[in-house]
Amino acid sequence: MKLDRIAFALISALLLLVGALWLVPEPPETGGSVHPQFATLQIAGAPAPPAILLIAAAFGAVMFVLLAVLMAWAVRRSAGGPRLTRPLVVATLVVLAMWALLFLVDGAGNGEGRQYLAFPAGTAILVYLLFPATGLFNLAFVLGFPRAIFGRRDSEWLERRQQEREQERGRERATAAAKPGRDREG
Amino acid sequence: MESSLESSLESLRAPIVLAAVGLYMVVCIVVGVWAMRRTRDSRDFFMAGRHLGLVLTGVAMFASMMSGFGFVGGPGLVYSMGMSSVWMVVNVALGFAIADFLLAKRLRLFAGLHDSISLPDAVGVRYNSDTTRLLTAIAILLGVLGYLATQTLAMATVLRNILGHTERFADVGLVPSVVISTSVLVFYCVTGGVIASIYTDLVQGAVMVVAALLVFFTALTVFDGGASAAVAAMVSDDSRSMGPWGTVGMISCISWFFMFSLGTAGQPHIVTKTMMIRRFGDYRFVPLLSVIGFALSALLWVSVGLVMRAQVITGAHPELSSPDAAAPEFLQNYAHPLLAGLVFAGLFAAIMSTADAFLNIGAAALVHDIPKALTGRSFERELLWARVGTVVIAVGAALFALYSYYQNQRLVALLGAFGWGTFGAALVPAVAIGFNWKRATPLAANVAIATSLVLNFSIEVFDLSLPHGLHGGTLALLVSLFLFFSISYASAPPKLAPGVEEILDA
Repeated sequence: MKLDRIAFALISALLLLVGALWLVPEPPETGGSVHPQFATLQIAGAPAPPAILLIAAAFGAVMFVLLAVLMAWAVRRSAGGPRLTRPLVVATLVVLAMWALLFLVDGAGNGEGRQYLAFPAGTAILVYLLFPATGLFNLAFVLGFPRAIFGRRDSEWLERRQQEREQERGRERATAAAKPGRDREG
Repeated sequence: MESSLESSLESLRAPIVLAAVGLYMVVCIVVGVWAMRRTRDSRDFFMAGRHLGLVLTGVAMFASMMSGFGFVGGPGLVYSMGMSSVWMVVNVALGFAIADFLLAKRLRLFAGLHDSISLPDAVGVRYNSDTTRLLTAIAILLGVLGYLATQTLAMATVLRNILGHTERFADVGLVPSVVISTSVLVFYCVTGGVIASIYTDLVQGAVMVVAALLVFFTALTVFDGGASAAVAAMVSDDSRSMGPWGTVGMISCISWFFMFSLGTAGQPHIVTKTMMIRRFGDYRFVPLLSVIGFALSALLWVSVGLVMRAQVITGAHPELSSPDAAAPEFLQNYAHPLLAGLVFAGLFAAIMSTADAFLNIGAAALVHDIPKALTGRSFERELLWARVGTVVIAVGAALFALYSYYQNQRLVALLGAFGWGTFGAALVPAVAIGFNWKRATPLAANVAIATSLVLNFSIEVFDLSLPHGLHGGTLALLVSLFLFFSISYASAPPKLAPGVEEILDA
């Protein structure tokens, strides 16, 4: 199956998940409410119902796969593009594992009062595990750059094409200079 | 001896802060004058002559991304909503990765082979359509006005706070603050164009990282018992505010994450930097520089917001007048006077580095792209018009900032999120996808841009509430992506010019 079709299928899935939000009744104060003592602070509203947990987990998982598919799509035509497939798959699997861990820990009471490097368990997973894991995609870009994105041959090709374009423009300018009246009419 | 020095420094806090910010503004003006001598034509003004190196490009990318939105609005959001807004930060690696994979090479090739000096220029060549070029320019102009207004408001908020702590200017209003800060911004952008912007970005980026690190370490010591005790105090007040979703809930957080990661590929002030690098082979390490720079400067966003929330909850600090006052209040009350001076300059740096990038792309849209789309040619004295356009946009944004402040007191960061969503939803399909997909048609691009603008502005203007806190920009982006693919599949495959096909094949 072509990557553009996969991307379109994933975008459609995300849109369906968003549409499903309208079907789930909203608990009171979903987006938080004003703190009873401090008007400029918010406190959390009612916990999300199970259907929202499922939609949120699925949305996140589909989103990560979509982003990885788009990255693979971008390099598919370059000679070394397929070499990036494995690093991108590994990065996606690691990120998905962190995503699942975040939901599991958050669903199980967020570490029940314990703090990990200052934060409750779920927040610690977000800040110290999920965030760094997304850096694997940047690493794939840096490591794959010379082979899959822009190697020596690409550089030589660009230089050659730029020179050709310059020559073309020079010829166009010369032609235009020979016909000044026509150029002014533009 | 030491304590007398400390107390005399403390008594000089307001003049020190004012001097640091004044010095910073003078540096910006000097850079503007210096850059004016290097700006010979519109290519220099908009694209820095395509002569940037690795470090300048990397720093300029993250400095343009971390703005008043992050340095003023970000701490305000954490103060107000707990951990929710952290989802706007933790997407940064993914955001840069998606933008780099999808666009870095393609945009540089369009710039190199077609002499494109703006994003709508490249879009016009890609789709061979002046309508698509025009719609892209309009989307950029609308987004710029909104986003620039955010920066102007943030800059004026900080300046007003600084002047408010001096004796002579204690009663200064918002309007004079907007006028002063906009004047400096306009001066160095009008004189030096993007060259001034890029070189000040280098200074601004360095100031931002140093300031954020120093603030982070200061913030760790403000609350008795350190960061763990501060978080524990907030957990005992409202445990979910410190959970991974904060107070606004998981759908808001995840939709922000989606918008801020995929949406990065639609931010013209960030992605156009890839068109300015001298040798694209140098681009390899740019993403690492940008991600590390952003992550370090985001320490200020999170730490200041958390500390101020903990201080207010425990009664150690009076409640703030507005969440946007979190960063200025922290600096005025808890930072060493010299550090406060440096960090206030850092706040200005963060704001101005983004504002100048917006002024630049906005001026390009106004005087280069829209005339070219409508008449087939750009203005004859384009450099002069670019400078005039820069002034017009800056004044327009300043007026819009004052209007939105007095009409509807929105938080800086939420206005910024709207600007980000406007760019992302309008430009990701046509640019990020369209520059990688031969099947994409001009009609699909036009419909996607127009639909996203209508959806985004309708949600904002009519204050439409989406279920479970879904972010309006996320809905607009998904709808525009869906329409873009559907219409392209339903249309006949477009015939591409050879010069475009070779880039899409590269």
